[in-house]
Amino acid sequence: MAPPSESTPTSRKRKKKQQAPSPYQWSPWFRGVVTLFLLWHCGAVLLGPTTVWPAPRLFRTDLVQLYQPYLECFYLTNGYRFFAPNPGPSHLLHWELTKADGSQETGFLPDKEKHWPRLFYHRHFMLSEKVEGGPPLWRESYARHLLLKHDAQEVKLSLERHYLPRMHEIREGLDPNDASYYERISLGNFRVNEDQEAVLLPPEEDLPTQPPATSSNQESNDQPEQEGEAE
Amino acid sequence: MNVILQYFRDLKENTVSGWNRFWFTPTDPATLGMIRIFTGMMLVYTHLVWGIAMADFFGPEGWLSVDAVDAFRVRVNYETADSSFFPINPTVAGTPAAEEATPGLGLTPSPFLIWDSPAVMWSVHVFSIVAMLLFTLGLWTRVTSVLAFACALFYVHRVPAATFGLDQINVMLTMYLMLGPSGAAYSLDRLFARRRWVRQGNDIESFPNPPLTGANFSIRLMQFHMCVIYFFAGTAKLAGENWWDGTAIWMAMANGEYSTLNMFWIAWYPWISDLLTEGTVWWELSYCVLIWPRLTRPIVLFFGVLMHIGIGIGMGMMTFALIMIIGNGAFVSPALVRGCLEWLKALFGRSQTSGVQEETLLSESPSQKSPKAGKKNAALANAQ
Repeated sequence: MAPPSESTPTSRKRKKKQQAPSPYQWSPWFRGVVTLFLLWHCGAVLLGPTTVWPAPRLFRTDLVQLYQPYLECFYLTNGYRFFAPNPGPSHLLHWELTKADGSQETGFLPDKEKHWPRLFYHRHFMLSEKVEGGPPLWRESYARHLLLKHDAQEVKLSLERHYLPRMHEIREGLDPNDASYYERISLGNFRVNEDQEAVLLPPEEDLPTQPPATSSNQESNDQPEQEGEAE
Repeated sequence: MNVILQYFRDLKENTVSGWNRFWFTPTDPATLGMIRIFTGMMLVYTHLVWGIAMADFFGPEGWLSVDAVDAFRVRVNYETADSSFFPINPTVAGTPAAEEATPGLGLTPSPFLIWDSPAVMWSVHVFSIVAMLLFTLGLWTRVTSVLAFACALFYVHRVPAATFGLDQINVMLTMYLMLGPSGAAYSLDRLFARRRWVRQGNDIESFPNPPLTGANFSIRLMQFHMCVIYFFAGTAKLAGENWWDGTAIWMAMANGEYSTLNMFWIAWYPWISDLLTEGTVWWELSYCVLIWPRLTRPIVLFFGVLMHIGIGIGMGMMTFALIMIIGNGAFVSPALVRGCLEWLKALFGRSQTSGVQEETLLSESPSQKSPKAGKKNAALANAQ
């Protein structure tokens, strides 16, 4: 005869609970460890986009201190702002190289004729798209690359902004590649020094730059101040 | 008072049980295997394209010098120096300790930042391509998934100026594939394990195909991350007037540097831009809610695929479009994946050739074992 304590409803329930197979393959302690990782990681995934400007000070300073190594190491510092807040004009990088014999060579990024396949074109497009928002050292680095690759003495870099046409302008017959949709901004003239570093020449030595287009198109375009992040 | 206490008890119990059910319920690794194959193919292609101009991107005289890459890190994180809550983290870029640190070590490790000789550059490149290829095929997946992820990071850390959304999703998916048993389905690992099983005198039909917790864990992380991506993509658009006035899609399509098709005819049909613009915002904003119910999920995925194919064709960003569609694949059920493969096999007449079933990667039994039985077999599948 079984002891009375074993036949009570409470003990039966406990026994049944003990015998019921867990629906989970991982042990409770391992699930606990994984849960801690999940809380940390999901926090990082959420924090990455919230630290992109504009962002609250708490996120862009304090929490980032805690998470920065993890975010950077695993490439989670992305804003995911695809074409937001507004699709903006695209940017092309132009250069004019002056070689030792005085000859000149020009080129630009991205070039649909030269850069193929499309992904290769897009890589170069990103180089020109990000130069304006990137640190100043980037344009020096671009200049150094061009000077060393082409064995040139001096390079003049400029950024060309290609504004977007409005619908009514197209309906009125305007060519979206008309010169009035382009604005050229000088990034400076560069030379390579003895340490193989690109040096920005003083403004007085700077070559004359093409004045920015001042057509009414740019005014009517009413381009937003903030441009969207490329996809 | 008892009602309040009961509420908190219920809240705790439901949260714990819901959390366990969401993250730790074993699932068929078919979806994970499918995503591994497609992500791996994207990785291989993406990195082969880098190889067209290795010296321009990764060489000592490349577009971005190592100093320029470090300048980017310092600039991006300069605000971290004035934190009021935490002491200055010596490893955080922007601090003196970080500026004195050896480039390529610490936060953004990459051999491309440490060694700049062409021999090392090409060795790393060939090694990366081989690792990614083996990962795609599912050979030694536990190891090659880690290598593929590490190699993908090497590239994005070296040339931050040339990366974009494609690289973000590539790295994200590879990370989650690395964390789970991505070689447990549709892989050479699986094929070889099956051959060993048969050689040991076992019946091929009894080859274990258990649901795995790790597969669910990986898939859930992908699903969560996709929701975060679209949520921030949608909310960021709310700050732009072009997304409100219906002209944003027009502006994206009229961008000469992006566009591959002449879409200027939309100027005569502004309602198309209005519809697509508003549809994009609403779709992105509602994604993280409507993707979860079974009834709305197919609709959300259908419009998502349409949207990304539109971006791919209209704006020449097919690689980005494909990787986003692959990421959305995390919401496709394993049963549907297996059903599609069965359908493809039947279409190509493979289902009648039962003799070659052992030889094909796609001939796994769709039978599901119970979690209890799965525990025994999980070790075998996990070991692959």
